Amino acid sequence: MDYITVNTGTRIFYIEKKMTEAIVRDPEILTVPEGEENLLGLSVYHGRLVVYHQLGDKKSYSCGIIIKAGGEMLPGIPADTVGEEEADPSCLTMLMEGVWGKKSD
Amino acid sequence: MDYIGECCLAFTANNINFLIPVSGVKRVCDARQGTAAEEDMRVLNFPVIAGRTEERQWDYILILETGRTVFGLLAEEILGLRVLKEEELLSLHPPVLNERNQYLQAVAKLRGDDGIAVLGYLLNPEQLYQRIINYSGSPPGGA
Repeated sequence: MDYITVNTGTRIFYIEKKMTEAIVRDPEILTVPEGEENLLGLSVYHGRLVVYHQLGDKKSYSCGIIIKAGGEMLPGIPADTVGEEEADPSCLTMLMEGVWGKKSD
Repeated sequence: MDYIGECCLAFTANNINFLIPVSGVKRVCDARQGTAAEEDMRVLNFPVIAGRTEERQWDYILILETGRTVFGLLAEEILGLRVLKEEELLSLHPPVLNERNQYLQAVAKLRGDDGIAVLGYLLNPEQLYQRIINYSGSPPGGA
């Protein structure tokens, strides 16, 4: 299966291409006061809120990967650099809808 | 949405834009000069709640009134007045909201669109006071 990959320096995350709504450059991300620890913040895409979840320790980002979802809010993953990779789904474990990590990580 | 066309006071804390309905704002004071009449009211150190890690004297204090309760909200910069329209507001739900930040009523699109939109939070004054009641002393209040 084809994935968009996000390397956080310590770990690689795999995002299903078919589940990717968009990749946006330098999104303006609004911090959430007293938000959960892994919640980076909010942005807007086509009139819907994007909720950016921090994967790994890396706080910097140059783009945001927006994941397809129903409802009023879309999940987003911040990334410094993105790549493309084919991977065997049996080696991956699901972290959230459309987002995977390696089983051995 | 309860705040269709409601006039709001816009301010910042920790470089984040916030809006609060002017109907709940009794007065805006210079926080460095104190608040005179309401010296024993409870005050929410909002810049710290919004993420500031340093403690210092903030510039403004908003005196808010909900029902018969008066309390203070510290702010860094006053941006002015803004009338919010329904189409500018986006609802918030978990996982954005949790038991501590229920005072975030909605996100307001202030200008721009998509990834570069400038956003702010519409605040609920009743829930702000509830935040003081539920977590008094954490983080510390007081002007």
